[in-house]
Amino acid sequence: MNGNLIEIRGLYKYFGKLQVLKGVSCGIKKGERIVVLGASGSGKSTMLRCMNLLERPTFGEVWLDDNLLTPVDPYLHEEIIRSSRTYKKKLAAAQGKDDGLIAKIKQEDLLHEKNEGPEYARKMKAYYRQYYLDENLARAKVGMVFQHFNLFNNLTVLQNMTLAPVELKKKTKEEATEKAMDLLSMIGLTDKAQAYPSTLSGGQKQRIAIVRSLCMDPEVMLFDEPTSALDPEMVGEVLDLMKRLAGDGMTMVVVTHEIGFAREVADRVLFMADGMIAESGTPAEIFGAPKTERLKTFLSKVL
Amino acid sequence: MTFAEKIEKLWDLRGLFAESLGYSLLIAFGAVVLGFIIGVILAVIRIAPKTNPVIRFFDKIAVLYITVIRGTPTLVQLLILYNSVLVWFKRMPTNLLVPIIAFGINSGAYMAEIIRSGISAVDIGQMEAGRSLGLSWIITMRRVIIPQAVKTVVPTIFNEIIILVKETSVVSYIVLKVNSVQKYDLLGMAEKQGLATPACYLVFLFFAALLYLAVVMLLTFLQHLIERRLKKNER
Repeated sequence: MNGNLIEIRGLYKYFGKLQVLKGVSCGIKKGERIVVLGASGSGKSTMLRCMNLLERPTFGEVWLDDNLLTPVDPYLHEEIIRSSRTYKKKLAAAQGKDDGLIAKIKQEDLLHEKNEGPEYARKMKAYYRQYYLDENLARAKVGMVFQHFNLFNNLTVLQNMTLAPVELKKKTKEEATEKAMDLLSMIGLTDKAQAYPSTLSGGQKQRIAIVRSLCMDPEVMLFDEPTSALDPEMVGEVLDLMKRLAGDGMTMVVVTHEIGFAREVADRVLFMADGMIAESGTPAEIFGAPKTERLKTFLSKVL
Repeated sequence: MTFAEKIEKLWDLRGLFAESLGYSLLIAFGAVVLGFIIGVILAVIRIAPKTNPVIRFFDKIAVLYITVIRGTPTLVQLLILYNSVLVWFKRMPTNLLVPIIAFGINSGAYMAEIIRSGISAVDIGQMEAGRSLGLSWIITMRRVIIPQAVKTVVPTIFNEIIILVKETSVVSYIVLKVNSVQKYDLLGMAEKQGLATPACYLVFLFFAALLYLAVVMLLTFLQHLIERRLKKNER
């Protein structure tokens, strides 16, 4: 899988009739820091949430470390389409000429899971068996930070951090506590270990939410507008922590409106519009020489 | 009969009234426990993501159960169960299980709705955070969602318990037996003694009412105690 830590392929997401993602593909390499920009409603949060399956894509596949997290999407695999009854019938009808047939099947969503024949079913199953990874195992490797922090309100800061590693038997209680206290001292909040989230400021909550994810030793961190719900004076402390993570070589995907952060930290910036990645490139390319009209308009509004 | 004589009569019967209050409370307690267990199970089924047909099937059952139980009077349910499904329990020398099961089944439907609303009231972000850390739905439910739901649900659960305690008075419609000896719940005892001494009937009824009131006030006190306890956990 060409060395991508996370790869999304041909992602479509519908909420009822609303099409939020319209065929998004992208790969994220280990150690890469990606910032996703875009107007609200452009699908950037949905794309991020698809990466750890908080949102299930309608079509498309999500890969983590060469493991498939979603069901197999037959439209992404020509050899599977070729084994389908629909394809064979159409091929016979066209006297064995394949020009554009596969594209047509993809385009018009012609496959019907249930009656594509045993060969197709076998291929689908074999592919799934070979690559599938249980979603809970996958999520344990992918940290996520939310706009509204989502600290567990019924648990203390320390319990928030140790719950998952202990429950999932990644660490013993002692190891988890030690790691949590180390992380708390890194962000200067050791005195809050026994506090409940309701007593903390927004900035403190978000920094703890970040280190809570780190307690699971994730391979990649996803940030869903981590500073959007913060008072302005608290944005800095959260961004500083994120920069520090970036400096330590953490793979990060950050959905944000913080242009300054994107410029400073990102290896690559994705600009999303209308459920698609409209433009991608280094910060210099994106901010210095935007190609599309949409990006130019967007930048003129936010800069 | 003067009032003083009536009170004296009541005083003579205090042991019987105490015993009958005991049976009322025993039935209510058993029903609350059973109702709570049924309620939690139904609520979790109702709230579970409907991803597979087994869960969808149980969800339909749960909806049917809740609809039927909430849609028919408790007394009717008690009498039907007493004479049909629970007939085996009815014939045992001690048949207290009949009202316990009947009221438990009844209360379960209400508890299910109360608990479900409590779970839905917990911010969806809490579940997402749990899942994003790799915790399963069940573990997140148990460690994060339900503990928070309990807090919002305590007042309404106590409301249901209070209603249940008072509603046990309809067991006087059926024959209670302990070791083959007929026994009475609180209202049943007041009725029985009232028939024996009609002049005292009203006094007995007022006394029964007073005892119910005392129990409910005790429960209310307990509720406030628990609420305060749970609040302290937050700070």
